[in-house]
Amino acid sequence: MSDIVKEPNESVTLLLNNWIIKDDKYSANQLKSMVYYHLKGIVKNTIADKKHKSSSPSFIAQLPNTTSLLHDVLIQLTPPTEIMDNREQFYTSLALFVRWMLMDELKAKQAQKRSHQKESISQLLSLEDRSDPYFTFDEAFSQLKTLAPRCYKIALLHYYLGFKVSEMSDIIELKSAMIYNELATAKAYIRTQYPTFN
Amino acid sequence: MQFNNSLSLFQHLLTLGEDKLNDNLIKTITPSHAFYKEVQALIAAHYANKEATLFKSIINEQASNLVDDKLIHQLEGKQLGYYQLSNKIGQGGMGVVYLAERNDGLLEQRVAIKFVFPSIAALAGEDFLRKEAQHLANLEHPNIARIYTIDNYVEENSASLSSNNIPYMIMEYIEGTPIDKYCNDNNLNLNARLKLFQKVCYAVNFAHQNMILHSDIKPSNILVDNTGEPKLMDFGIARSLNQSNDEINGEETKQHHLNAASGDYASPEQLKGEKLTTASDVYSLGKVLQSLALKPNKEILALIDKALLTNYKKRYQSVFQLIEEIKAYLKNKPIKSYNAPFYHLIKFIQRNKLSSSLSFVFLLGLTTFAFQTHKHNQALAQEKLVLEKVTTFIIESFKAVNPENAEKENTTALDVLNKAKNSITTIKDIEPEVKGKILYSIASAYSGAGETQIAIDMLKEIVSYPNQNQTKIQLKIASNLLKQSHYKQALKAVNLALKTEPKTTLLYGQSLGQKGAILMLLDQHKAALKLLLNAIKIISDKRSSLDPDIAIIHNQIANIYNNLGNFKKVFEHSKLAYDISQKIYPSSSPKMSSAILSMAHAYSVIEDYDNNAKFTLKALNIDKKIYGKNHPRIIIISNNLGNAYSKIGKFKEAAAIHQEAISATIKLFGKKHIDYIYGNAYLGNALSRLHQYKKALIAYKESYQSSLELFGEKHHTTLTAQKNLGESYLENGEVKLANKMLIQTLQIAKTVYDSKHPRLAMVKLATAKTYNAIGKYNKALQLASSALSVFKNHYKNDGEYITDTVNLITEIKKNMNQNLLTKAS
Repeated sequence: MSDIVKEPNESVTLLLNNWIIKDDKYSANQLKSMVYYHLKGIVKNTIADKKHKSSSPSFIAQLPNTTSLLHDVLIQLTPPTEIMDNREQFYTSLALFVRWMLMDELKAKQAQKRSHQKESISQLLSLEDRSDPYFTFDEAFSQLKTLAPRCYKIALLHYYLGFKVSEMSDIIELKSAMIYNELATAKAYIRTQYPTFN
Repeated sequence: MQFNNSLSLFQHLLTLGEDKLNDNLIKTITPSHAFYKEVQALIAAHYANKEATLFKSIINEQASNLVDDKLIHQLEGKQLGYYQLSNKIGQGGMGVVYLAERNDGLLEQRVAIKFVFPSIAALAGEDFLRKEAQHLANLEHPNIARIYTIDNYVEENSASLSSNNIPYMIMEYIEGTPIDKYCNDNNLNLNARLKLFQKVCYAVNFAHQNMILHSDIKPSNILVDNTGEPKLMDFGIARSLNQSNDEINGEETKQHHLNAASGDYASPEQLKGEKLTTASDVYSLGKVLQSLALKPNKEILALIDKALLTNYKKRYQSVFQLIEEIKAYLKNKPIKSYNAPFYHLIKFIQRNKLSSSLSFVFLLGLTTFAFQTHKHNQALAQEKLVLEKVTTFIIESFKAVNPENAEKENTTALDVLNKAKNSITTIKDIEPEVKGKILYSIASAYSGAGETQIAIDMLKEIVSYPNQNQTKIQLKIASNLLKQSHYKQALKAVNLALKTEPKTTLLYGQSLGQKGAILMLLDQHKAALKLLLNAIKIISDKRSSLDPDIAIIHNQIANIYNNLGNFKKVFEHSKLAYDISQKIYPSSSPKMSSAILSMAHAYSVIEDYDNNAKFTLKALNIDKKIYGKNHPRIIIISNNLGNAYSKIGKFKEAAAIHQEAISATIKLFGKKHIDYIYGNAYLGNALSRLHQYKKALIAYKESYQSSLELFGEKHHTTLTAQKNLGESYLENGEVKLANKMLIQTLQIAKTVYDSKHPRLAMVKLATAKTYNAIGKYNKALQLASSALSVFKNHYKNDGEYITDTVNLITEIKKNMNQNLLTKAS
């Protein structure tokens, strides 16, 4: 069977347009699926990395090879030299886009859940279910942005685009050791934001 | 040390050593300190994170909310038309397969129903399954499992936002054993195995003739039924139909991905996600044969080897060729190869037209921005309309850079920007605030692309839009004016920035830094120094001491001391900047190259020219890799390197480098530019040392003329250029002209520099040379001695200037004695 994974018929921006303006579910699904596989790819790479370090070849062999869509797009996105200065800004935008998409979906799902459970008045009244662990995660990011902007940026690139320390060192032009420290600080902060931790 | 918050303190502790965080905390602050408990919590969290963090699984969990893939795991017992789903019999990267039984009472029939993950369906296109089924409907072959029908399953009461149609396919249910197991269970000999395998090959060949690739051939996809017939199943869609049920009961939807290939049997090109051909199926068949053929002889081994070649062009190009080889083997006779048709059937998503990459990200950035604005500006009226306008704008811009629409083949970043700029101005009804912000991001992009004038024009327009960050706009205007060497206008802009910003913010500190840099270029050194020190104070209060901005300012301070003639301070501050830079920048980054360059300059002011040349070359090599040859930065560094070569006697190399830099400057900026002034001055120096005095004179004249136009006569650059020109006249033998010019230079220099400034001393030295040349030895001696006393305060005794001056004084005295002798005789 051919053409299983064929190229999308439309550009990403066109998908965005159809989704936002025409409220086209098909476009929304296509875009969401791209982000989904992108994030899956990040997680898989991390697992593969960790397993590689603990040298368990049998496990790696079982891992399917990653097809991380956005990441593949990213690889082609090495900007020309004249805009070196804007490279960091571009990647940050892209990471923000992925983050925004996840949060938007969570809110939308919760809103829909509420409208499905009209019998529960208290739930209907509450605006958002903040107990979802992802809310805490996203909220911690928002806090970081003001508390430690560089930590924020590095965590954003790490978690939403899957960049490793060495890759970020290249993009942000900071030594790996510093990137590591910033990321470690971001991670520590995010962890302290979970009530179960303290 | 001062810390803004617990995070910055924690970060500081990390730099002191990861294993002594708690010890160092106690040494740094007391337990009663406001941050103490917070930092303690961060330390505990950090050590816990070292074990494991769950953040990625939290994101992962959230990501699966984006798609409805979980739905197809929960379908047991559902009714689909005549069929009721019973248990799951397989799952893979593309979907899940259920066993289903017909329960309308008319017929007894068991079928396999395959559900495709909604995410896969979304990516592959809405009606891809229908198209696939169309192909498969043609595949009536005794060794291929039949496809009965396809349809969409509609989930009722779904909590999902998106489309609830899940495509599925009803297929022939094969009760059988995977081919490898069947062969072993029945203890088949090689020939029997080959015959069975041959049937599989015929089935695959038949599919190929119908323009269909299987792309997932492996033993578990070839079931041998109870009549001994192999049945090929699962064309392209699912990873594995007959995986054990144990796997399903484990973690559901653990690893979905788009590449359906099974690692052990997939061809190298498939694992790489490249284009597949019939030769890819040939590879998988070769792998299957390898697993079936027990104790293969040489001929079979050769056959397998050819099927498994990494380069697909060297394999059997069709299954038909493979079949002919097996047939020949079974009949024990050799057979020719055939040229079979060659198919290109599967395209993978990563090879799509999104490669118009840069424009894509640029626009994605704008889109993200538009969404953010949409989200955060709930108060904005007509939100939907605004968003619509913005999105339309983005799409219009994108159309221009879509290779299919664009007239040009290679669309550049500038093309995207130009289109974006034109589109935004044509949009009506958009909120001015949003429009202003979009214009700002386009202007920033122009600025980054080096289009300073367009950026400035746009930024000036944005000033009048409501709710814009005026400080940022003015600062950006200033930095673009600075790039154009329009210092006074830049100063005006930065003053506007300072006026609008509260005096304690980081942005205020940065604006002070910017103003300091401009004043420095305008030769207002003391005022600049004061501003920069103030800027360091504000910035280090807001951030840590290991901050890139602090390094930059140390460099600027070094620059000012350079202009004030305090060279020890120059080296001191340059070293401070370099040390910070070395700690924070990767070794081959643009910022590190800037730091190396400043250090190179610091070596030059203390007359260590070997290190000067060494560091400059190092920086140039880094930057050429990053920026290519034609970039303003490369011009500057080339000029510096040429100058460094001159100082260590490599004059030819120096002249060639400067000439190249000068032509590049003219192309990029014209002649009225600081790089033109410096390039010509350095070229003059090198030519002069090569004794090409006439050519040198031309270079010095160009340098002086350009500086006079750009800075006026009372500027250190113009004065240096004028001094050089005077010396050049002297070298060309026009001693009177030289003397006249240098006297004038000295007069102006006295009004610009204080009496102990080495630059004034340099002018005095040059003037002394001309007085010596025209025989006014007393004047010459007086000026030379005055210069020497200043040089002694600044330079090493065996340095260039002191040696030069001492030699001159000796010569003057000799001339005086000669003169006396002549008069006496």
